[in-house]
Amino acid sequence: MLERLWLIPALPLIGVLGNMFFGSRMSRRAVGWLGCGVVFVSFVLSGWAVAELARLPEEARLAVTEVGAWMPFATLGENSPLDVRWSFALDPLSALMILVVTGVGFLIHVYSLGYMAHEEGFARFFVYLNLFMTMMLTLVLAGNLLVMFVGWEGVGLCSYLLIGFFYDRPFDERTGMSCADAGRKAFVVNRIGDYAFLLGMLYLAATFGTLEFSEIGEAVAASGDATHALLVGVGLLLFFGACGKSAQIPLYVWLPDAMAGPTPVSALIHAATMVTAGVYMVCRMSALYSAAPEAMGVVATVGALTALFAATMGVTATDIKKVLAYSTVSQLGYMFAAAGVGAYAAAMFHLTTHAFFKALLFLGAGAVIHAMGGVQDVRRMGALRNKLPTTHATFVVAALAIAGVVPFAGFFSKDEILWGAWSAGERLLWGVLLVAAALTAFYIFRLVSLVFWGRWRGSAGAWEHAHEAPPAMVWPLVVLAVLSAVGGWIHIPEVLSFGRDWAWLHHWLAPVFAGGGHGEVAAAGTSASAAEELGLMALALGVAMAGILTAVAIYRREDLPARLAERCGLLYRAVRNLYWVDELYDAVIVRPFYRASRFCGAFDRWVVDGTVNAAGIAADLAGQAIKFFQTGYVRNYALLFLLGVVLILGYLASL
Amino acid sequence: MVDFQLPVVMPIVALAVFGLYTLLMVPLFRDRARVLAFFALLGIGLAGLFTWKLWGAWRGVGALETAHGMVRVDGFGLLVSGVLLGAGALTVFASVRFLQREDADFGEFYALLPLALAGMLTMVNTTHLMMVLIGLEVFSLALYVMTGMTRQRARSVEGALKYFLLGAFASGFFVYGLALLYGACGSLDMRAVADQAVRAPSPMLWLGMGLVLVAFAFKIAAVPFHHWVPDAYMGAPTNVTGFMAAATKTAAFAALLRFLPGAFGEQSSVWVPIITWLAILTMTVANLVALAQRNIKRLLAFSSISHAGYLLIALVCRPERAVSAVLYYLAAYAFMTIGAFAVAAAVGRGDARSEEGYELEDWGGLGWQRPALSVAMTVFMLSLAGIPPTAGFFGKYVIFQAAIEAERYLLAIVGVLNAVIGAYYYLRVLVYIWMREPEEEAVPAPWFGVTFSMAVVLVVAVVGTLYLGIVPEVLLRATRGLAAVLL
Repeated sequence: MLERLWLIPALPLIGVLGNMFFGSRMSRRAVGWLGCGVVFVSFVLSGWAVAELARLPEEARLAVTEVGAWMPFATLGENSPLDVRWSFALDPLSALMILVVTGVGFLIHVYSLGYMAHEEGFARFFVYLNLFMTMMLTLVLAGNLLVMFVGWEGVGLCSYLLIGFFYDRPFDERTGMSCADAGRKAFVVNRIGDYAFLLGMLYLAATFGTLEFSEIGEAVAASGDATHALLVGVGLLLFFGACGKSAQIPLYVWLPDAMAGPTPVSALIHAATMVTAGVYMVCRMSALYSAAPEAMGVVATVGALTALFAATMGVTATDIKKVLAYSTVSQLGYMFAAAGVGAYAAAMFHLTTHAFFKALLFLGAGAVIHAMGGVQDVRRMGALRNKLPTTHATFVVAALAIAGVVPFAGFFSKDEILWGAWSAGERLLWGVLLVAAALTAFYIFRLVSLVFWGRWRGSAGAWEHAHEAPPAMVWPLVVLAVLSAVGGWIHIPEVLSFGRDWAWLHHWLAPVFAGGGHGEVAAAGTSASAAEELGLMALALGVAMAGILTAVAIYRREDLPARLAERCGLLYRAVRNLYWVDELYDAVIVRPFYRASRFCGAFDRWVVDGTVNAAGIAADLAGQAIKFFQTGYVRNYALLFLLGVVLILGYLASL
Repeated sequence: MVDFQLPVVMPIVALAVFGLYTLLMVPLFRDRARVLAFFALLGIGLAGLFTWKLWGAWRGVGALETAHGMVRVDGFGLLVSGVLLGAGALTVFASVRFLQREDADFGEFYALLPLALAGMLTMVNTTHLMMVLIGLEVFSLALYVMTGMTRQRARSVEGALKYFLLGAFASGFFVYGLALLYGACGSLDMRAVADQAVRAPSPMLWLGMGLVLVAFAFKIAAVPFHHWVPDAYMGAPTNVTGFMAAATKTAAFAALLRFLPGAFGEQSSVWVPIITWLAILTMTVANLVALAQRNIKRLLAFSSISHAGYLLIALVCRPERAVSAVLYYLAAYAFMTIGAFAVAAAVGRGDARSEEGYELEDWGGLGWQRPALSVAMTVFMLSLAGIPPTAGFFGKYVIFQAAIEAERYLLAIVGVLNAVIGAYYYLRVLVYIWMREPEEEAVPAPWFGVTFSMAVVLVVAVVGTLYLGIVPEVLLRATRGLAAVLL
């Protein structure tokens, strides 16, 4: 399987083509089978490939498949060929990712069978979803930055298509935004990041003459101090690209609006997989970032700030999916913070557990929305645990996981990040992340309280209508709930493992990262005491419990939340209006940009188009004129022929 | 001593034998031309097989020569042969049902096609100018007949006659040029000519070169030797037009590559200005006139001339670049142009006396009536216009890149500007197909709206166009190092 890695991204493409061309003639059942089946086969192949990889000795765990050359004649200036190949690479890092992507992806495909069953465009939905899988797997398995960029852009396209899937429906009454607008917003914001990504890639190619991941590490190591500034620049540019894709400050604004897409899409693309691409990319480029500590500092700072900032917005949101969207932004911030302090393995660990529990939260939210007949406002829900027992149980598991309660998945990965920050000496960063952790626990249990507990606040008719989801939707919930509960056990820190070595994930990922990816602590040996680590762990757990209990206490009381909001006044309004960031962007960037566009448009219409049209008309007239040489008389043709001969021979004779 | 190795000439022999055999069989299968088409296809297939075997052999031993150096088989000639045979095979597929429909189901067509291919293969698998002339005449004669095949159509006969008269005129120049070259060098082998050009260049040599060049310019339809093209292309049955455009250009350019960068490679300062001006004139005039065309066959005729202009650019670049670029472009051109003419053939309507349906107005709203044809045509037009990810894009890309590398900036700039003009009229076809309402309520065609054999052509052409555009390296790699074996 390691020789045929391209099969893994290619398989979903079969689903794309099949459903695109024949989807309209096939039954929904067949469409669904095809759409889910190809992803399942892809998952099996991924497992097979990873199993083969695991059998190799640790230092040899890198399989590269080259499908062919890509633009072999491209050059970068004088005598510097840029040999980019269509290469796919499997190493422990991408192995982890393909398992997450195909595994969680498959579950969400199955879930979609139920969720989309009554929607128009069933086949179209699976075409997009399969195309997304192809692109995501291309991104993950890419052997060099350019192939990764293909996937990077591809998932962006799919994200756009899927956010605007219900393109004719309104999305946000406050801003008058339609689903199509939301898709456009996501696309445009992503483009800004992509531009930086592209620039970073070009600088990298121009400096080292290669884009292969396997060669960049050596090239960076071999380059001296002279390129240091450039490495920092490239690191920042690539990170800015990651900010777009992974919704970090200042480019996070698209993700909350991306919730216009169908809920399975939010779970798959905007929680579990695509938005983590930025984190994956930073980890993938760890060799470069480790050589550019300044860039890493920025990554860590932006990540931690985003984690905190987004968590506060999650506290006041009233749309069930938007709460989760802010939560995703916040958790991605965690991952970047981890990567920024060099704890790449912790970042990937959190990425994995987050994929489980956030997908579960979204799918649970989808089941709720399904039951509520499309209502997403938590103020009109309540007590749904009576109607949706399975959804409720799984949702609570996920909430415990994200809040970081032992022994659920999130506890281990979040603690790993906090410990990474602490042991790297970044006490301030650690503090910020801890506060964010408390807020996380608070807002997620606020959500649970409002939706599942307490008293029903909707209409009587809606209560009658509410029902548990069909089996196709429930089963993925159960599977993900199990994963959210035990997924953290793939890496149990030493202080909790009774002296045994249960840190499997770190051992698996160790060959990939510069310095093993444990952050500073591994390098420093056992300088940090076990007692210190245990104490911090207890503190994090205590903070999480405090957050949970506060949320439950406040939202048990009917009138308390409103009174608290009133008491906080300006702060509440600021958070409620998302700190007016959208308005700020609108005033500072969007409106001036429109004005500039209108000016350019006028210039283009009158000056540029005028010139071009004049040239076009001139060309047309010239054509009409020359046409008359084409008289149709052989004698004229022969004459012109002879004229040519005379000119050529005359020229030769004059030599 | 007899110097003759049959295996070396087997591709040509196979074509000639099957051509003659088909000719003999014509009376027997008067009403079943499909059988004859099968014979022709068999001959082409066999020739392809032999070519394939020779391709396996030539790298080991270098060029294979026989008949005292009159026939020479090398990688360059073999690759060109491959393109030619591919074009021939596609043409057979495009012809079967088309000729039936046109009421022009003459079995002789399937005899002439392999014979024409035999001439072309003769022309490209030699370094001897006499053989080039023989090959040229063989395939030209076959093409004159094929052009006038629908002999009850005035246009067809007119086109054939003009083609024949001007072709004879050009051949005269060719022979006269050969006479001068022989006088100057004492041999017509291009290696001897090259030798003489280095040792003792003389006015006679240059005049001989100029006259031969004129004949080649006629065959590739460079301005101002191009006037036969619009009339011949218009008159010929559409399937023949596609073959003429792709195959004639391929064979003539291959021979021209051997002649100019090959035999006169050391004296490039003499002929580079001529080719430069021919290229500029050809591109510009053809593209400008194409702007004014309303008939799809005529439009494609001028398009074909303009592509000859782009190809001429490659000639004045470094030989190894030139060979790669020209071979790639010719292969790409074969796919897209045969495909485009096949679509035109499928859309047009014709009978023994006249044909219609080739005016752009007739193509209005085609997109929703015959989607398969329209999608294919879209691919071909985008490729001809040079838009990625099609083969046409990379063809232009490698040519312009070669021009910039050789510091022929003027040619590169003129080429790019012409590509812009070209895009206009190619895209206009698409505007008619997709954005105009049909003129009249047409009879609804079945979804695919094409016969099986035509579908084969379209699928192969579309896949080829896109495949070469996405992985150009496959072909470019094969062309590497071929510049060394031109002579």
